[in-house]
Amino acid sequence: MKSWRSKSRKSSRKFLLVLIPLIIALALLSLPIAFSDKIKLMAGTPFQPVQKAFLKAGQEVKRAFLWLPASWAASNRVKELEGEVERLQNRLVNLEATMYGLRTELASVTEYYKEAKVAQKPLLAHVIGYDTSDFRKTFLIDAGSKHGVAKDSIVLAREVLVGRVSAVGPYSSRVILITDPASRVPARILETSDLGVVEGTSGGLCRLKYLPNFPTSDGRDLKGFKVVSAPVGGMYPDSLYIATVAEDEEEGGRPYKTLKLKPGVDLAKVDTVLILNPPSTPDVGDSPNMLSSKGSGRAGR
Amino acid sequence: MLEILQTCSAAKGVGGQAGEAVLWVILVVTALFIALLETTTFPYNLGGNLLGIRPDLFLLSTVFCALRMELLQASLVGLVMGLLKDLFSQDRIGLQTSFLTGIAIILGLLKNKLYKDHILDQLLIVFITSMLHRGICAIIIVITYQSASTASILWKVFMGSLLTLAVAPGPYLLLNKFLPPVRWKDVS
Repeated sequence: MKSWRSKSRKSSRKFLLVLIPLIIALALLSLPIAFSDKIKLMAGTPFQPVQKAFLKAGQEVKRAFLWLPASWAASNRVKELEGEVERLQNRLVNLEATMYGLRTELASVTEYYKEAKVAQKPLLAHVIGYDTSDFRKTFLIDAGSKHGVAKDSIVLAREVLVGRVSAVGPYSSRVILITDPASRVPARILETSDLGVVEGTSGGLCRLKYLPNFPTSDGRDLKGFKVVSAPVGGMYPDSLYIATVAEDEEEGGRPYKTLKLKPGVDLAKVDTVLILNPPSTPDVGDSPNMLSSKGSGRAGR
Repeated sequence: MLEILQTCSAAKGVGGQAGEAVLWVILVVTALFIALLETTTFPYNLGGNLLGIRPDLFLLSTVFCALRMELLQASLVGLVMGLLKDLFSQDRIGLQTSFLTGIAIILGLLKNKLYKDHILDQLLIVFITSMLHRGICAIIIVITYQSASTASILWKVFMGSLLTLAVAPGPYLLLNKFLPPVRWKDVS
């Protein structure tokens, strides 16, 4: 009887021991988000060089695999491109004439805004790692607070808005992409000036939600229309290209319209990004980005 | 590395503590290696970008270790794997740690009923666990951020689990050779 009791005591003690890791894991969940973000970035810092090396090595191997089929396809492509170059050369002449006129206009506008200009130094950073979860769309960049990155900084790739900085460490930062389900970007359709919110879907596309249900495009299909950022809320500058409308589907029974968007840049192929620090609150109205009225359409008026 | 694993498992058989320490070092190094693969090579290189899905090597390692190790060791493996997954993710720290530790404990407790040493049994366990894990993650994502697309989430749950299942035989054969299963002797 005694031996049975001591046995059961021992096994229950062992079971409690097993639960300790689970209790630690659950306790970690109660950490404040800002603190846990800091821990994550601090702990990830030593792996940065290794992550960079892995990423580079992977890219090299991929390049080697793709080289053969690519060179075969390239010879056919060269012929097509030769014809295209000819067409483009003719177009260039027309564009040069337009450009001359625009340059004169730009010079006068630049002179006008010189006084109000705020120094905004964009920062260049490289992607060093991606999210471990399939459901999240974030990446790590090799620039942190030591380089001047601040939380909520805007992140651009090839002049397209790709996301914002969600957490900053000393030498690295996490960028939440526009396709992440937690991302919300105020935006408008360039051609119609309808305001909405770009939300991530956790897939390759985003959604432009909360558009008016009544048609403002004169019955035209919105597919192919450009979506740019809107300065609502002061976090994002005006008129940064975000995405193109991929699908314009009629949905009945909803108080607002939703469009499917294809990001302006292939987020899987982004390796270098530009970071613009967020406008400081008192200067929101004075920021050069906010002043830019080009293409702001009806919403800007 | 295989030689070290072999030496270590032999040492463990004798009851050597040094062997167990080496085993833990190998597990932590493997977890770090998986973290690097999952954050750099798998997502967008080497053809790993299969419409946004990738095999969950963290879960795979946790499941196989839970089926082969003692209960306490299995829960510690879950803790280490989950912590590393959390460190490189936007999710809250502790979320994946809790999931993987929980999975390790549940599998550790049920393994005598589930585990039949056969590869198909283990692959089935991997698939079911992966579906459950991804399903719960998906539900959390959908509830937290209502913007997540249901089609994309369902695709990731099902196809991600299938992809995890597809890569599972590799680690299974490796572990079967170098880390033989330990029967349930902690809690009875």
